Amino acid sequence: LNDTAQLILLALEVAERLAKVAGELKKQSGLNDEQILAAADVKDDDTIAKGRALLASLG
Amino acid sequence: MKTTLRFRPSAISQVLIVALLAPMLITLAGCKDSDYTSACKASDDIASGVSAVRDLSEQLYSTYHLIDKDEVRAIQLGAIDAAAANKEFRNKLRAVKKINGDTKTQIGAWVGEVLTSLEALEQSGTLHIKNESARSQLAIAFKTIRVAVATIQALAAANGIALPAPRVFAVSPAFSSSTTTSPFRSGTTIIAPPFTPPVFDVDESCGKNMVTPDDVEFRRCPKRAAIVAVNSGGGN
Repeated sequence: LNDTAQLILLALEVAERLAKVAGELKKQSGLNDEQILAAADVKDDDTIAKGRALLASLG
Repeated sequence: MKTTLRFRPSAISQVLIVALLAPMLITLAGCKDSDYTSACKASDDIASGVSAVRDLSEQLYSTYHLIDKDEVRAIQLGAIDAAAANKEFRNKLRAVKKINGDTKTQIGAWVGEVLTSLEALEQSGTLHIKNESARSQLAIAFKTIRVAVATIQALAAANGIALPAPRVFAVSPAFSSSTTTSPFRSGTTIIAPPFTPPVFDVDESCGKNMVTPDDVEFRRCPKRAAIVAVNSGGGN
């Protein structure tokens, strides 16, 4: 049961992340090219910063 | 007696028709993005997908304990590389401002860099994950990236842009002690740590098809600091 519950939680986690991606794609429609590029910059900068922070914590 | 019915809109009707149709036509026209806009959007989609994969891998490690330290480290390194390559691609897009005959060769090469990084990330995030549940969930998250990649590939094809096939043999500190028997082709990109040249433990049985270090291209990742050992399985 514990494993099943964990898998359900994990599936929900993935679904939540995909929903977030879908929401971001919807937002694109109202943006011009430069705004789309700037939004992507924020995401990639965030990925790089969080990735480096996690790597640092791993030692 | 022959009766012909004709619709003759009055001036007011004509104005009304134009007023009603104009927004629709503008909307329809807006459905077809320029190639430049499509490229911007695809890059943003890739950024979203890479972010989702990175976040998920952190959760799989810290909350669910389904992947180990080496596995999450490999994915983080791959995500950082992919995000950096994607950002570089956008900076170059900003510089050229359009996709045309003069810029398409350059753009093809830049897209190739992004695709290579994504391929490396996917290899780190799926092929090498031991836990089946974690691997399948990461594979789902990778699908968002694949959609964006397909958009870019379609865009390139429509513009006659030749994209180099991603040639990646992902090597990361996580797998530094492991070897592989998978062959890789000449010209394969090996993502390797700085300062520590990859060690080729070449299998003599590969004979004439053996790949030598001269056949591959090394891309240095400044944040990596582990010795990489690669067993070359031979090339073609």
